[in-house]
Amino acid sequence: MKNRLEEIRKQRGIRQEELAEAMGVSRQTISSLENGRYNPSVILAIKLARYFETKVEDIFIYEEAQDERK
Amino acid sequence: MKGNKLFIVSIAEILLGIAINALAFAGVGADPSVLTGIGSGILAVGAVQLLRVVRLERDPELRKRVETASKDERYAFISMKAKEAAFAIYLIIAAVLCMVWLLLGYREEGNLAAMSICLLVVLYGILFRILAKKY
Repeated sequence: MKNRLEEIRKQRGIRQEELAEAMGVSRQTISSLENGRYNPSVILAIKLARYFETKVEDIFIYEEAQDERK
Repeated sequence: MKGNKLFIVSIAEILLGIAINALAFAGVGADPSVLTGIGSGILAVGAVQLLRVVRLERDPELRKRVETASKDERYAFISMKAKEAAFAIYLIIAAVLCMVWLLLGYREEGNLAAMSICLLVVLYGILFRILAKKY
């Protein structure tokens, strides 16, 4: 799953540490999310969307071709 | 609050460890070395826990990092995956060691170790089935 987290975070001028603190996760988790190494839980995805006042789909882009379960 | 509770538990463990060691020193029980082992173990756990509590109390930055890490969903995910993999690798290594033991002629010990591994696998399977239904 691709995401625009880094792009949106940088647009708002927020550091990874600040975002991590606001979300209650570690900075490494934010870094892993931005690099696409980790997919967040639904709760974290919604919290991120609310923090940036946007929709989950605007941050996380699901592409069916990349579905690992198939 | 949590730190205070852990501090009290650590002190209690240290005192219990000292008390058990004192009983061993006084010659209570058929084999005092068993009591010494248990007492020293409890004492060591309490001491390490106490050191951790003191360190976290003195360093708020570290305490915050530890608290965040304990709640972090990615850490929980990684930890779960690591536990799964570690158990699978452990079973393979233990099975290979058992076979080596048997091939070296230690039949009784090898059989006992192999049976223990089989028992562990059976217990794992049973617990997995029960917990899989629960979650």
